[in-house]
Amino acid sequence: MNNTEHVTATTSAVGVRLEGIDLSFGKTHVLKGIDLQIEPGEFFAFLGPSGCGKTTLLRLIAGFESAQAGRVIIGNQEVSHLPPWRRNLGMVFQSYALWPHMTVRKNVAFGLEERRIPRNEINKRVERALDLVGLLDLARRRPSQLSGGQQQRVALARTIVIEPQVLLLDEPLSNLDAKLRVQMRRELRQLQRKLSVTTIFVTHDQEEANTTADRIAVINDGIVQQIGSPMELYDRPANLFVANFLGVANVVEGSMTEENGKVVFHSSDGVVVVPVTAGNQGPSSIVFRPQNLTILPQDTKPQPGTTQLTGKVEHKEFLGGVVRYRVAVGGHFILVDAPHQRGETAMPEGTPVTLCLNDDQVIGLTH
Amino acid sequence: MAISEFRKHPGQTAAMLLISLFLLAFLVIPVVQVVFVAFMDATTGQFTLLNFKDFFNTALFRESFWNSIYVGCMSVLVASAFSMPLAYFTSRFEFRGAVIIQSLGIIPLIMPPFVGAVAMLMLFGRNGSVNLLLDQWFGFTIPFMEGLNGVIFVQSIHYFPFILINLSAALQNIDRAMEESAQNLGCSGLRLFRRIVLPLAMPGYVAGASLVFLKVFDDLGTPLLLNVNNMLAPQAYLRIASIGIKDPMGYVISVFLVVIALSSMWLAMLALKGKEYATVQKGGGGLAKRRMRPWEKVFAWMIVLVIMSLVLAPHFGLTLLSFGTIWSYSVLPDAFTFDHFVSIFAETPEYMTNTVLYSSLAGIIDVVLGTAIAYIVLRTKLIGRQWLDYTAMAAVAIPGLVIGIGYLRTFFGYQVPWLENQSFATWWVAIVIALSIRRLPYALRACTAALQQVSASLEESAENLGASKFSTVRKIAVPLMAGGILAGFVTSFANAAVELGMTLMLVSKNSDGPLSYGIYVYMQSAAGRGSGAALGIVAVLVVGICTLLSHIVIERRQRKYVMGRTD
Ligand SMILES: Nc1ncnc2c1ncn2[C@@H]1O[C@H](COP(=O)(O)OP(=O)(O)OP(=O)(O)O)[C@@H](O)[C@H]1O
Ligand SMILES: [Mg+2]
Repeated sequence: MNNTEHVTATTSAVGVRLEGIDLSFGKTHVLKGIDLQIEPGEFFAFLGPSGCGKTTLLRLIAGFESAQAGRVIIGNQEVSHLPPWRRNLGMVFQSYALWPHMTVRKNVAFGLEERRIPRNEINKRVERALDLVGLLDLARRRPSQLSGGQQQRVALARTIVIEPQVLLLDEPLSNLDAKLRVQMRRELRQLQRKLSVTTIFVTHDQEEANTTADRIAVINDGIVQQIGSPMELYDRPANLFVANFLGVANVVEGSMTEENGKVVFHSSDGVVVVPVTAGNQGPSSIVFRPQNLTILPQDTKPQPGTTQLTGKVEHKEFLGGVVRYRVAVGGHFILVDAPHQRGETAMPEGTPVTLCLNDDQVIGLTH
Repeated sequence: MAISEFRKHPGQTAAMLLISLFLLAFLVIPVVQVVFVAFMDATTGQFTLLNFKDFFNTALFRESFWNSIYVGCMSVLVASAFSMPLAYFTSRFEFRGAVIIQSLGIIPLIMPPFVGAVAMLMLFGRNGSVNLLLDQWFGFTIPFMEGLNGVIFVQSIHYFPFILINLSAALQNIDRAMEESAQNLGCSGLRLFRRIVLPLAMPGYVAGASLVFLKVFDDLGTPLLLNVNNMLAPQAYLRIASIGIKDPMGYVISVFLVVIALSSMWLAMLALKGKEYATVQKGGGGLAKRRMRPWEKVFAWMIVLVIMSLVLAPHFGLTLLSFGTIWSYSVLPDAFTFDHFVSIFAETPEYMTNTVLYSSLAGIIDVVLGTAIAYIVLRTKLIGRQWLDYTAMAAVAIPGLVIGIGYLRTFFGYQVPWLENQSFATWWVAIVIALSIRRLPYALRACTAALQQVSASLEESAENLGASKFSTVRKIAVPLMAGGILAGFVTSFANAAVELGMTLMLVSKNSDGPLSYGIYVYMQSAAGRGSGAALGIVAVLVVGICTLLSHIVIERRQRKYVMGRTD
């Protein structure tokens, strides 16, 4: 445990590579063949529903779990067999895990003391870290005397003060109330830019991931579903899970055929027929977002580049900026968002309507 | 407004007044009296510190004082040595022996140390079984039971569960993330234990350790039976018993006992206060547990088995003693017999009947007082009601011996009007009252817990339907509290059966003695040991069965309560 054994911190950021990670707890197969490449300095998010294995993956990187197969590579070094205390990664726990028997200052100094750094150097670095998170004034308090947001900042300061190679954050905002969460995620993003430290952020909240991360890995059931920037994932979901998980999606099942050199999608019941820009033939689905449609009175003239669907308003919800209609089209229920202007009234339920779908917004997913 | 509360509720006020008087007469005044006498010049009645000067000028008292401190500290040390590995195994590892360790935490508590003391002498004494075997095979002996060693040995075997239970609870309350975040910051191994785990578990440990110290420091029966008289509690008893209640030294010692008891309780409270490190949170779940490696398993089992045999030794020895004919200078008794059991039921049945009588009466007084105090504290707005609670609870910190001395001093002059030549202090009723005062804190906690679980709205709805305060209490609150009250009665009953310090002071003739007194009387002579052990077995059975019963009652109650909440 002397400090030469620690992986020495480098000033430039390092990447993280996961290769063929397989992990089971007894009979539960939690992580299934995970391959990932996180670039140096990147803010990367693991996004997925509860129980999909995000925390397990993060703990694996930190060294608290060990995989049955696969390798974890940080920078150029394989760390799979290093214990947590030799990895020089900074993890912020969901519960913050501040030690109640130490003051804020002591908590923050802990990691530096473990590295046998000279006292005056420790003091300097602790001051700097506390200053960075704006908690210099509270250094003498105990964790129990802090608010949730302040505790979160202490946890962050305690971690960044050791200048970790990679910052690991497990749902760091989930214990905060909604307003504070928005503020903290901004601060987090700014801090990460300032330090330019490679950061992995675990969340099940898509908005949190979208607003902070450079790239996101969507995980479901222990499998990485897709990796990409928030917009890429939204605009070009690789599968139905990603399409549904990020934002609201209309999904229609059917198959694609080629007609006159163009790919056309037919729903199974033949009600929805849409030309698709790209896609292979065979059974498939199409996905489009509620804002890709316009809702118009019945028998409106077709516009070029759109597909007309006729139906009946089945249900409506006023969401503030938009009115979300649920329209029955044949056996399908299609969600449509109509922007709301002051003074407008919503169409009552039962109104027959025409929906115009922008063809170029339709995403074809071959099964 | 405050005064009118009393006027508005004459019934409640009367009840509170009666209870206050009872506590004043039988707890506050006797204890204050003891302290008073310690600071009073025996001849002139003036305030003086002379008695304390005398105390420290007497070599025997100085020695006793340091011996008591030494025995208390050493017992804490040895008890810690027993508890720490056990707590460590259960909190750190997936360990099959955990169930055994949990039982180890209860078994010693069902037998007060003095009951097993003589049996331990037979097993571990200079000529006890273990040393005979050691001498025979290896040619050396270990002075387990020599002088103060014996007291330390017996006490730590009996009281280590206080540390074990508190320490285990504290360890189990540490969130795994507390430890992992330290590892993540580069800390591991012993440093991790020293910097994170130990400080977080400290409050629990200190609370347990100070309880052990208090119990050991106050105990009278064990040193007396092991014939170790140069300690504070035996000195107080011997002074009063041989010189009389006029001698101030017994009172001076009592003041020491009370002060030490109060300070260790205070220390325990201080340790726990504001340090409710219940740090388990979402995603936590105690310290990380891992499987033991094979050699670790062997090692752990060895330690568990050694401690288990030590814990069971007093029980085992007592059983041998109670069924053995002659047991002297031999590993085991010469032969086995039922004679001792026959003789205790034939010759001295009064020990048993007295115990049943005293304990039941004390138990009844306790639950009546406990229910009434709990009700007044939780359901009324009478001023000073908290003080009722505090006063009743203070009895926890007063050693039985001190209460006994206080009763003698306070009530010796009062004659029971209809009995000739019967001082109130040595009348059996005084024993019952003293027992009930000693055990009131336990019954009160049980009743308070029970009443807290009964929603006040149930009573309010009864009053709303026209029931008076008294019939509301009788028909609604008490039946709903019944389980809790019963549990309070049972613990009170069981503990009263084995109280010795106070009983020794107050029993004036053998025919008035309860079980604990009988055990003490028999055990004093070598010939009576068999019968004493048989009585001890009866006491262990009584306490064991009562403990089991109260557990069952409380558990059933909890199940009922939880079900009542979910539907
Ligand atoms: N120590 C363990 N033993 C057995 N199963 C476990 C263990 N830890 C996690 N699991 C299981 O592994 C799966 C993934 O758990 P994980 O904690 O990684 O989920 P998560 O994606 O972080 O979920 P959440 O968003 O709820 O935190 C879950 O099904 C969980 O029950
Ligand atoms: Mg998680």
